[in-house]
Amino acid sequence: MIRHSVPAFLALLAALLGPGPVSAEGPAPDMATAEAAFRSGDYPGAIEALLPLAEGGDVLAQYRLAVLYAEEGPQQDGVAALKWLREAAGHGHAEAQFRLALALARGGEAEQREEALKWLTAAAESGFTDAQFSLAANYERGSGVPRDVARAVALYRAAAEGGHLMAASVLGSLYLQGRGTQPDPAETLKWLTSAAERGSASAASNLGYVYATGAGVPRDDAKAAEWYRQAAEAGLPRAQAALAGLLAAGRGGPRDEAQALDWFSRAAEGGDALARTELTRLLLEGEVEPSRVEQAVGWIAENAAAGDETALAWLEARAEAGDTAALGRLGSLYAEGKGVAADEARALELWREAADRGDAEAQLALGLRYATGGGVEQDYVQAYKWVNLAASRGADEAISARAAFANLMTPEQVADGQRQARDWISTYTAAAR
Amino acid sequence: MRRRPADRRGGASLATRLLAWPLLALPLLAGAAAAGPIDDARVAAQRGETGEALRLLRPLAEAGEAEAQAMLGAIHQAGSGVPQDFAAAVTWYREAARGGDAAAQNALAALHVRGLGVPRDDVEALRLFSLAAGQGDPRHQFDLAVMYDNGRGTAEDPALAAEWYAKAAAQGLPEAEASLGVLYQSGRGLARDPARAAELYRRAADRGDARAQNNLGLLYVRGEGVPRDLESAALWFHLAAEQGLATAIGNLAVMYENGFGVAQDDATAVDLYRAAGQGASAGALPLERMVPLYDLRLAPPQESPEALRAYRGDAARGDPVAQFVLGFLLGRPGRDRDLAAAAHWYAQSAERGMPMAMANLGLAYAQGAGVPQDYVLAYMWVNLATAGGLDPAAELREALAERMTVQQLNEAQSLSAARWTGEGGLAANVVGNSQRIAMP
Repeated sequence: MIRHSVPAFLALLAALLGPGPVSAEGPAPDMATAEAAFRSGDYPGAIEALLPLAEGGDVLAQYRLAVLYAEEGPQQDGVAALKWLREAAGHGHAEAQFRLALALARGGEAEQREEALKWLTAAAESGFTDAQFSLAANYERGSGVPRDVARAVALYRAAAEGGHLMAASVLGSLYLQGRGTQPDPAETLKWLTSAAERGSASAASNLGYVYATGAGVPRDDAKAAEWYRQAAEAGLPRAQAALAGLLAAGRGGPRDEAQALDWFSRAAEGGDALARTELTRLLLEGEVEPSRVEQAVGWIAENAAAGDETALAWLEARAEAGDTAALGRLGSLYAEGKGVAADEARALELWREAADRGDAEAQLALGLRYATGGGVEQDYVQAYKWVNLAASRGADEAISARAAFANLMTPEQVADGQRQARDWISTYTAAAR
Repeated sequence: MRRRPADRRGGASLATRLLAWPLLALPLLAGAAAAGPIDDARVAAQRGETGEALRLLRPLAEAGEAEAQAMLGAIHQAGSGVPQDFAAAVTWYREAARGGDAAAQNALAALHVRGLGVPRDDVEALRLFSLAAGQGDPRHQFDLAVMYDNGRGTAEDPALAAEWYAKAAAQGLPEAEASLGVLYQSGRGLARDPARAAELYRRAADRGDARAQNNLGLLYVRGEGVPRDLESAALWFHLAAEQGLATAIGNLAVMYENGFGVAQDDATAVDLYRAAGQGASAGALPLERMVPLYDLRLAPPQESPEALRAYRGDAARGDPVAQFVLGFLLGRPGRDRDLAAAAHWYAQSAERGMPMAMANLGLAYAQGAGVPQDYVLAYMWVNLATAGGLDPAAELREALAERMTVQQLNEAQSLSAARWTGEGGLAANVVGNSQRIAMP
């Protein structure tokens, strides 16, 4: 079964109704019949019309036949598809050559893969840009062929000049890095810009880099910010981090710490290690309001748990200053004996303070302790109150705990717990105003 | 403890430290020149543009990039945007695994265990799990341990299982802590040590691991590794049972049947035995399964971003119908779900007299969804809803009444009476039944 990497129906449509040899009077009668049949969903009819043409050597018909046979449905016939692909490919139909290469590439035997390479090369030489890109990628990595980055550059260029978006992006990078070619700022800009303007996030990010570092071009922070922003908005973590850096330093636009923090957070959440380190550093050095980057408190806590004493000291200081998130996390460290000697009493103290300040995780932990009598006197009413609050403030795990406790309590106890939760809410809301 | 001069106690917001930010831009940017097609593929995948992602990944995968191959495998396995195809997933995972990608190795191993896309082959699975586990991810280490624990792909080897569980547990994986606890409890592969088992179970149980909760309960029943404590046992069984663990439900049934740590109750015991047999979760009353109702007199809610914006605008301007619809939409499962906000908007709408909003707000209080669970407030709102003419709310009112004390009921009823008739009372505001309400 031939697997295609393109959306099947659209490809089929393109193949069947795309440009083909047209006489002055229009497509040959059988081809017109085939097209009509296809449009009405009559694949077998289309095949019937195409067969005589294909057998008569009409290359386009051969290709279209192959595509139809490969398509899912009652007419599907992998063997026939392969046969007609070979025919068309042998007659120089570039797209057929490419598809044949794809079909063979997944084969296990070495000969099949060699054949695949042959067809890929043929398609590339015919000017089929997808094939040129694919072949270039192989040469760049030395996959199935000896590594030859210079040749890759030539192939990427051919594809890029033919309009292939990714080839343009990669070509620009290669010119930037001077791989397979001499570095060439003009070419870098040309190709990266072309790809970025057509929506490639990676090209936009690289373009941002070029302008920000002035790599062979005059530094231009405004342009750097613009391009990084495009990539950042598309969701590229490294671009988000770079943009954040520019905003923080007031480069390419007015300084904007708030936005910078936002982008650092997003980048870190997206897995960018540098952003995470940077956020952590900013917090540890007191340069940023922790409530703006609550998640980063979690990272610092992780570092503390792993033995980082600076991180631990920071947490302790923040806890003492009343930072809710820090209180909660520190409590967990003491409860689990991570980074510090286990200390139930201190854990409870910290959790209690965090819970009073509305931290859902601390409320849950506290509630569980009250239920199990771990370090406090067992008290189901208190337990229920705290997990009830935790559940309403977003700690989903508290939901089943709440139900479990309720099952063990009398209705009077539950009523008591609910009233206490209500009272807590009014105190808390009043204090917050 | 050293304090920063501008700190103020009490949680009030601190001034942002507007120190000159170091020129971190340059070192940060240094890593930025390497973005490529795989980044674009990831972006496309995140946006759900699977076709585009596949198109970008394919040439890279063909050219041997392990990460691209692993991503392709995952897309085919998940069947997101393409028909699910385990065979294709296997093909790609194989290549990526050869290239050393741990996630691919692990995923491929799992497929071999289940016989999906490949014939079942525990030996090969074990080999692949080992490769992945060796690269350090605690979930992969756990998976390997399970194979040794159950004698899959090799003879049972509890000692080796213990070793790998311990590695994963050291990284904080709750299920590994639970499984390691099992080995300590049963003395398999390790010297029996109930106290250590209890400790491990406790850590995992605190983080919600149902198995650990159940097993901890058992230790409390038997007084092994912890002092005998039937009440604690019952508590832990309850917690595990709420999560649907059949064994725990069964254990709980035994507790109720015998009055161990709970008041003896044959009826509950019978229900629990039945539930354990069906694998259903215990104690699930109709109240928990109720869902918010939509006012059928209204046009169906529009879910597009534009419509949502419009509702928000109208809601902010005080339109009770828009507030109700907004509450309804925010309460629905999905990415935009925000139970607290839903309750807020229901409350706004309820205050302006919309009976359905009152009923849904009552449900929210009854279930503790987005607000703390509060039967008094729940009953009050539901009562007002039925007074406003909403019959379906009566069912909820009954369910609530069953769980409330007499004092709670009295309180709730007087609260609703006060709101109904008082100055500016709701009776005057209730949006009537007879009016046909249509959304603009």
